[in-house]
Amino acid sequence: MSEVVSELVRFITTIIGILGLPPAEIAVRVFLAIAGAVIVYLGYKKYLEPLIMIPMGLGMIIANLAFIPGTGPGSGNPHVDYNFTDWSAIWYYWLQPFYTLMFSNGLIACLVFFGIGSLTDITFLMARPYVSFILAAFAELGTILTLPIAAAFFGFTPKQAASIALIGGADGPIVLFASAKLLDLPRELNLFVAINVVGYLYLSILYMFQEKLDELTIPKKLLATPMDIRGLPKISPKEKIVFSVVIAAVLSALFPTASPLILSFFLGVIVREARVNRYVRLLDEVVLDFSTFILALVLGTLITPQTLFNVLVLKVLALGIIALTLSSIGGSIGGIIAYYISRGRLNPLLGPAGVSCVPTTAKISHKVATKYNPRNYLITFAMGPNVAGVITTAILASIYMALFA
Amino acid sequence: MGVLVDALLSYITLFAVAVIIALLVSVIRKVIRYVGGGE
Repeated sequence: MSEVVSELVRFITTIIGILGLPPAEIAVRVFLAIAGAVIVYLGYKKYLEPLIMIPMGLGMIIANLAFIPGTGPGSGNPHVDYNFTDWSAIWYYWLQPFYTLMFSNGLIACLVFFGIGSLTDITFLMARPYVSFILAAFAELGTILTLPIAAAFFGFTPKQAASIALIGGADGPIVLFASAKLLDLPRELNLFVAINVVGYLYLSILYMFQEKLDELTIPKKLLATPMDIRGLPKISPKEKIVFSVVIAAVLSALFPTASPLILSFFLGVIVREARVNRYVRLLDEVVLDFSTFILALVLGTLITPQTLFNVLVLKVLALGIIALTLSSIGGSIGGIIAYYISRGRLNPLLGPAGVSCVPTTAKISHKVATKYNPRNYLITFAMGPNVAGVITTAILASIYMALFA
Repeated sequence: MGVLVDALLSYITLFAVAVIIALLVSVIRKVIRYVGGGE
């Protein structure tokens, strides 16, 4: 009788792989699957970014419940093997080409940047260049301070600390690109996954806490500061194209490790300004959407107990929130200084808009400004520091890669 | 200590580059308006 039972158990655990795992791992996997379901729901309800959260959440659910014993070096993941080296097994993991050929070398981040560039209007950045770039630099405070904090108080190596600190730049593709270069993959894949999942999760919830943070850090009477759009100079497409070519060349020469991101972003901008509409449609509607979808799906299928469930994640969760909060405070400090230097002509909310989550933080600054002064129309001005923030984050990523990679 | 120094130097570099880029924008706009083709 006992032989029949043991045969039955063997039969069932061979077919349903997850049942052959230790009870503790099954519990963790079920927990992660439920977390994935919550993420899908929050994406569906638009509380979190649906473009990222729906594919990532479903990937999480499936990757944790589908376990195949004996595949890969212990991962059992039928979608992607994070430790993949045996090319004869490429037929087995359907998402492997995306991970091996697009994630680990940062290509997927560049594809997203093509699309972001093709959607970005740099008019406001060029209309107020000093204000835009200096406020964006202030809003990198978290990216700067989290580096020594992570190294000194959380025990991370400089490479790891730099990867985590870049969450403060609030730019998902840059975090992915730089962490892929800075970390020793696949050995540190758990940290790579944690940083990118936490980064994207925080970018999604930024909308919820940034507004309160702006109101806490900037005096209420300053939040209502009006700004007159009639004072903005017009910028021609020719000026924008020349600027993009010159800045892309200069920045690539100064910061070669970030030149793939710089090239991708400014190529998108130039295609848009040159009105090469077929490319604009390609980059915006195909490349950006496809790469975002694949990025979220692969990231989701990588969230398994082997890659995520350890103490590192808790540290990254804490440091991610520290980095974004400090960046926002840095932006507010810059905004308040700009307000006084300009003798009240600049609304301090332009500062936190320099946290480069395009266009979320600019929209939040606009929302807060209209709350305190319904006649205020800040979004036009806020897009300047917002877009400059993408460039300053890319610069810092390059400096960190040059220093620590 | 080394990481702290690196972080501070990175911030100083970032501000310097930010000013240089802003300066370049002003120069580019002036040159283009001078040779024609601006607004």
